[in-house]
Amino acid sequence: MGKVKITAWVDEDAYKLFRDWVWKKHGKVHSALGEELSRAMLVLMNLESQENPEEALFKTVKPSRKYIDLLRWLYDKGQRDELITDTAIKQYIRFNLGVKSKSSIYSYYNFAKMFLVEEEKTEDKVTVFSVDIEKVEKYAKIHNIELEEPARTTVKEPEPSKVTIRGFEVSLETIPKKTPNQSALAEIVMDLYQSGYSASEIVNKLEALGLNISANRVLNIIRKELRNEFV
Amino acid sequence: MEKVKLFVWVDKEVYDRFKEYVFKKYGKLHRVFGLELTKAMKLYLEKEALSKR
Repeated sequence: MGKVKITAWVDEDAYKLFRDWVWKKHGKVHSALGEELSRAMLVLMNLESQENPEEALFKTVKPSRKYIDLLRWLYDKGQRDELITDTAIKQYIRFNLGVKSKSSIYSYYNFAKMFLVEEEKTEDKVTVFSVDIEKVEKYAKIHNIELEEPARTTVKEPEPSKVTIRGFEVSLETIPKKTPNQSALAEIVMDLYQSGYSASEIVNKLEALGLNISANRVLNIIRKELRNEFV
Repeated sequence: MEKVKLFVWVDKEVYDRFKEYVFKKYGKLHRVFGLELTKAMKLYLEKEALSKR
């Protein structure tokens, strides 16, 4: 999907509400804001044209070869009534589709989310999804995709051992650590900083994620990352 | 009503469609593009809030 940069003057209150909502939904603002704004624009246009927003969205998102592989993988999971976690999806995108950059993985993940129904969010912040087969079939029909063909695999999928969390069978590999490592923390902090949040606001956002980090530490991370950018 | 400048990367096809939509509605883009973006954000938040109920 091609991207363009939008520059526009918008109402400050509406923007702040929207930005906070994006943060709550995705845990970050960078890249997610654009995705959500694209959806918001579609919703407004569809309301006026009375067209089905989902169908319009499906028409807008053109399938690449990797999107088709991902779609087939989801379809396969859906047909087996298997539940999948956010991490498992990202791992499939990374290891089976060979997508490496974080922003690209996020784009593919967002594509997958169009066909997923959130079933549960565990205490470890693992989101468990089921696949809405009807949506997959609808998208496939719009773009003439044959769903039965086997998905292309570049790396052999590991055989995960499974555990049951609140009645859902989840791959062990999908359970993340409770606290992010230093680079992940720096990434979150910088994402918020670049989105215009102050140090104290960042501390509050991190607290909401269960991370108790002082404002001084946040400032140190920002300084360090900025220094690294210039080196 | 205070305004802020928004910089964001969006899907090109959606952006082109939206520009066309605004132009058809007002016959111009200047000053009204941001207005419609604001409207889109508000509407989307309302829609999401409704779907969660």
